Amino acid sequence: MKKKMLSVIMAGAMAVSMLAGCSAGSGIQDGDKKIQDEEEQARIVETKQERTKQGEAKRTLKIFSHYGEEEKPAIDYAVSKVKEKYPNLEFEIEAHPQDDGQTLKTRAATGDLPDIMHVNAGDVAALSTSGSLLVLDEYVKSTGYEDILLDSAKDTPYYTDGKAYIFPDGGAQALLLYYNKRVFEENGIKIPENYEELKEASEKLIEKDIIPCSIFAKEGFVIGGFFDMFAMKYNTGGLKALSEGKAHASDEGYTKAITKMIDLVDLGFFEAGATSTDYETAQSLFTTGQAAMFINGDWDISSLTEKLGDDLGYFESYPMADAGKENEQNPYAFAGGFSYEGVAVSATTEDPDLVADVAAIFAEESIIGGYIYQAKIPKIISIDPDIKPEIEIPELSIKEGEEISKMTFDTTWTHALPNVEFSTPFVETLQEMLTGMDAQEVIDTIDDLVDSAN
Amino acid sequence: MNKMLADKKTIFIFTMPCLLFFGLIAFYPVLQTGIKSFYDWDGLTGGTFVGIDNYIKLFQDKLFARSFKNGLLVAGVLVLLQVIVGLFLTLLLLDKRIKCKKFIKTSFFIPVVLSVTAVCQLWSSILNPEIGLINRVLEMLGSSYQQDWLSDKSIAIFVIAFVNAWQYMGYEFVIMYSSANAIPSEYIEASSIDGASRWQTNFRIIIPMMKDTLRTCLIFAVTGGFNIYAQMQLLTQGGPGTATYSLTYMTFRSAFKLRKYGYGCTVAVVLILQCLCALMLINTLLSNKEEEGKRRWRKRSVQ
Repeated sequence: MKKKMLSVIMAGAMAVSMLAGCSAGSGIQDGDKKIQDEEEQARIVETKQERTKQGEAKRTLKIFSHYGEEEKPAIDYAVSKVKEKYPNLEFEIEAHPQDDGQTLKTRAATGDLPDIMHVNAGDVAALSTSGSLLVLDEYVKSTGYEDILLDSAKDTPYYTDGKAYIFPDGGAQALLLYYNKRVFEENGIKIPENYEELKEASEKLIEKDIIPCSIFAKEGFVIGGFFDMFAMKYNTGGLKALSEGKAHASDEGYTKAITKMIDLVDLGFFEAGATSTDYETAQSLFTTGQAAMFINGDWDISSLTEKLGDDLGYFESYPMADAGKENEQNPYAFAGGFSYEGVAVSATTEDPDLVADVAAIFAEESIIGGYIYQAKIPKIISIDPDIKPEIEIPELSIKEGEEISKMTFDTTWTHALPNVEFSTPFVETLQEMLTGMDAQEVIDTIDDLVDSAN
Repeated sequence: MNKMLADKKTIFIFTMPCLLFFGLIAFYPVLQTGIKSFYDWDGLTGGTFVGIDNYIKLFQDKLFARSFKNGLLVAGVLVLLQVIVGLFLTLLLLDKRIKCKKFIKTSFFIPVVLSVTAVCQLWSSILNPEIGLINRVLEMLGSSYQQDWLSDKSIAIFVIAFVNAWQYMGYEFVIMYSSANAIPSEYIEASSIDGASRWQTNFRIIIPMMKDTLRTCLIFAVTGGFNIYAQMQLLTQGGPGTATYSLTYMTFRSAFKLRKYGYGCTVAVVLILQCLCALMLINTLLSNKEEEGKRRWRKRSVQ
């Protein structure tokens, strides 16, 4: 029995060493062979690409994208445009769940990333360090994507490490402070232009049992934006400067801003239960006239116009500046801005040249599709004037689209901050600020955070 | 039959596939979590071994203390509302004078079959301080008592625990009711012939005979309290601030928000240990010593 066991072990060892020998042998290549192999590989890729174009070879590409009811027509349009160039390619569209990138991270860990995927800054932070995303530096140029980007958006494909991982499709989005003109008019309250007037208006609204402003502070980006509305009056870097360790909450401007916002919060500026209020509830408080103002991104203009019509307005400069200094204190500094998001390609996809080209077309056409079917005004590329949207674009959106060039975005969204060790507890601190934390405590906590996260 | 049970090899052959399957889907991930808790790991790359650094950091983390305490509070509320109130209802329904038993049982069980998302949406609107049912009813009744049910740091965790207890109370109630119904009626009849009051029958006959079931329900309630997650995610997302964090939510935050999977695994390991300790404590406190003795005696006599 022992002999039998021994012979089995020895045979196994021999087999393993033979396999190892083979692989070692193949690893030792001279320079000429390597070049030959590379040339051969390039030839195969070229032939494959040619064949795919000519319609001889069939291939199915997986696209991981937001594919809800609203996005579906735009995505289908983009896919149809890709098919015009690559008729023999098939596409399998997988719906992107709102899950903080968990699906993508799990799929990357198991080597199952889709060929093309829509990603944001958080996804890129995780996937770029593991080498799961194809670096698109060359492709951004070779596919002509860089040429179609507006001058203001030329840098948008590049991540903080200087490499391009996406064909961007988002552009700048501003966080707006909307107001209901009718509520102000009916109650004889002047639409505020500075902080003092805002405070006075809030007091009058509260007296009349109207919530000055509704907010869905359950979501971090809204409350982060509220912070920036005040902070940017003194430092255009807002929360981004804090996250990068370039500023502290105890700096004079930030301290002033925090004190002002806590004064408003204590006054009852927001609805009760703001930190557990969701978007639908906050929006309905505003559109039903129970709240006079509302904080959300510019993407909400269409939905709000549908409900409020001409009564809807937004502040072209946040009314958080000191009285008399409206034009001095960064009047066009807006919260929000560019967030790093767009179409990325898996590093392990077969034939990356082809897939990158497909991804570039897909990204461009999905922006155009968004304009046609969702009335989204593109902010990173210009659209052929012959292309007309299928649904009417609200006047306020057109106005905002024109004004956005005036706006400055030195800050960013909380979810777009690469420093998650800052952004996560920062949002939690701001929530605590809404539920009774005093100014000094907020300043000390943020200062500790700036130091520990940097 | 006896011969087969005495043959250890046969037992091993028959149970091995099951054990392997269980090991693969249950034990291996737990083992991996344990191993990764000693790593600085982002979930994608291999990670760096950091020894017990994650554990030291965890025990110094203020959020850990808060999450741990919240787990205990939720477990306490669940024990009170699911086990104690459930037991009270069980004893009440055993009374022959109570009518519409089927209706009451079904009513209690309906929330169990509802989706947790639907239940949380429902409670979220009921608890809304501006437009919610509770504050509106209080207002209509002329009361000035208005609450920020989910945004008040001091009560939010209890409200979340209540929502969980409300949804799953029926589950534990059905288990207890079935167990109480399985008690032979001879015991209860004999006690009433002996002149025992309803109170005495409940506490001297029914509850002691339900001991094993109560132990199971207690384990469900306590570990359910420690593991609470869905209600936090749907009602408050752990807020305001970190006021309603549990260890499960902290695991999620560490792994998916901070991208510190290694640290997340450390929190998960502590959570597993917490559940195991609770399990052992409950088993020790509620162990049936007589039964244990009999079992040991039977084992010895077989040997």
